[in-house]
Amino acid sequence: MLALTSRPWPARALVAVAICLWGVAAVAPAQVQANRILTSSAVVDGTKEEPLRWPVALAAASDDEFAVADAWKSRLLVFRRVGASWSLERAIALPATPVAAAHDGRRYLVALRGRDELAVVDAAAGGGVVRRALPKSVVPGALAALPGGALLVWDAASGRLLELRGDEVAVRQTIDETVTALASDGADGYWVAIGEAGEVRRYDRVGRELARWRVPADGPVPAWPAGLAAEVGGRLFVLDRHGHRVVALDSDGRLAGVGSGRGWEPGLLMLPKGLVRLAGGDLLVGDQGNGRVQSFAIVGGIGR
Amino acid sequence: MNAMRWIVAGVVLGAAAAAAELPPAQAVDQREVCLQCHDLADALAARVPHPPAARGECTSCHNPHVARFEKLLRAQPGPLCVKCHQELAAELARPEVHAPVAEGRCATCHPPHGADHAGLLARPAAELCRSCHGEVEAWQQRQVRHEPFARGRCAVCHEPHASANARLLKAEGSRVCTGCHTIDDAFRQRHGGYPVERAACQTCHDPHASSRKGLMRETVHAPFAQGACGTCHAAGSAAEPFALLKPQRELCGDCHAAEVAASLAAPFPHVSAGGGECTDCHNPHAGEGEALLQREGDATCLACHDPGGASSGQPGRHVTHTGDVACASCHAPHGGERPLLFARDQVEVCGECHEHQHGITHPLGESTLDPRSSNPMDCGSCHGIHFAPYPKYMHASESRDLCVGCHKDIGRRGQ
Repeated sequence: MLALTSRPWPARALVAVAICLWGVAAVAPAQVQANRILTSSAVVDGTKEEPLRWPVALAAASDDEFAVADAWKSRLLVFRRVGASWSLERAIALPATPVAAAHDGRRYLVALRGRDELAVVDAAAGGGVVRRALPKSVVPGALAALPGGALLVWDAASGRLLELRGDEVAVRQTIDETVTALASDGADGYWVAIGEAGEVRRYDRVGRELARWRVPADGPVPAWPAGLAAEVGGRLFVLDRHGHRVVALDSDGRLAGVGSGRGWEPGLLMLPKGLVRLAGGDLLVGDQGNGRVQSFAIVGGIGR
Repeated sequence: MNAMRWIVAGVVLGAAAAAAELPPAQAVDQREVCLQCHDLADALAARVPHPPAARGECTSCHNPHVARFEKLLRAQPGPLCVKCHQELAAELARPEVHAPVAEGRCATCHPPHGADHAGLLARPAAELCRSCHGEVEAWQQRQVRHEPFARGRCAVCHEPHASANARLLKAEGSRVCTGCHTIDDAFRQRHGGYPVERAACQTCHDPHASSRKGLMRETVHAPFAQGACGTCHAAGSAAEPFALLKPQRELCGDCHAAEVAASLAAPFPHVSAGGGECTDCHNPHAGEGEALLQREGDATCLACHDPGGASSGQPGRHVTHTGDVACASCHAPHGGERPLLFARDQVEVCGECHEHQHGITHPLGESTLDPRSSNPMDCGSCHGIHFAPYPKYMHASESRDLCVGCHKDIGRRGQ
């Protein structure tokens, strides 16, 4: 520095600029961005006779079969994998507008608006609809199937989370906020999404809170989790309805990646609702605003 | 690792600055030199001077030669002020920060050279607040005004810079009120024996002004006005006096049966109304407008759908449709038959006002499928009422991009 002072001013300025440039290069942090973790693998739509319009919930029976509850004309549309695409196998009329769906390993269960009952659909046995009564005054919301055939039902009227096992109904816990999605954690516990708080919470079998994570906002738009799918001991995929995207959180709740975004074209989403992960790994998303279901392959992990 | 980077940055940039430094200037009377060109006579003669300006230390804030910031400021406005006013740094860590403070617009309230009002304020405090908060004018027209408000003493209840509480209140809930209002037997008697000091007084009383005695909010729910608290609540002396006698949807449904039933049965429920949580939006005691809303007009909706949006400074989110269009003009707040709670078919909703456009527009409906999604075309295929960045609420420029998004062959014609 002292030597610099003996040099003419323009030379000093040049040296200063050079030092600055070197410093900026040395200091600039490596750009950390959320990975794009999804690639579009298929767009699933109905037929001309049975179009898919207002998907509100998804449930998968296997890697080759899933059903979408369509609030347009209140139907359960069952799709089967044909090669790389999906084909509508059956459209089943529901007795009321569906709001949520799950598959308990044997049958599809659909929560119905304004009814204290579930529609039970055995697609493999011809798709007949049987009604499963819920306790009186229950307003069923989100559903999730647990390992072993139990079913979680969110009662929006009382704020209680009910567990249905056979004919028995037990109250797992009470949650004061509105639950927008439920999912099994693959073990004994379950995940709960709270839309207006932009949060996901994990509870164990007795309703003890194990984790509470804020889903990262999409710029100024707070996340509104409207679908959950968990890997056992791994990532949690959260469908962010207001961000029109899927957010992946790692096992510590850190952002592990995002997928898709707002738009109309295949691969993009518009106010999505309903998320399910197939046994083979693909994610299915109910693309409500675009009237379709989209299938995505998961391609990445945490990255720079 | 990051800390190391910043240390390296500091050393390198310091070395660069030292290398580039000009020979020290001769000591000058800054005030004399600067004021030769900059006419600050009025500001410097103001009743409340800003000490550096009064002392002629112009270079405390300005670089006389070159700067990265407007008005040759040495740093960004805001951070520059905090360099001396360090008490503000702690305030800025609070969860609620006043928008001009968060945006570093200190000079909106405080002229930096001198002012005529205490606290270096440009105008009397109430006038300053009113210059942004237009609702103050309407409150001033009301018959019954809260004394601090009537005297323009906003800071009795609100923090001007930042607060730990919503609405920049000095204390949470009723504690901001009980600082002045004594809780005694007379107080309890006036409130039917209920320990309302545990609740937030602002839910029933308008803290600024009202046309009603006792600063009660403008619209009062009939059972509340009649003092029939026991219709919904346990007795005031009970262990849980505010406990409801039965679930909300049943309580509200006793009188508003049709609304509650429609809300619970709506194919597309409003998340709050879906379970009969009426008080998410409605105030069961006293509220705003005929519907006893918790907040005025669309503010009830935006409290959830755009929290902080109004003060976030982020353009493009929930841009309101021009004209007298409220959220409920298009959406059914209790839930409806269609996604996004559209009160009616979307084309029908828009066509109610846009009658002319409806007649001449692009083909819509079942017979015209959007090639991007295979969904029927509707107004939303081209227009985004809430966050479209182009004129006429278009999703893309109508000169080309909007059309080419679907009509892909148009761009290739003539090639």
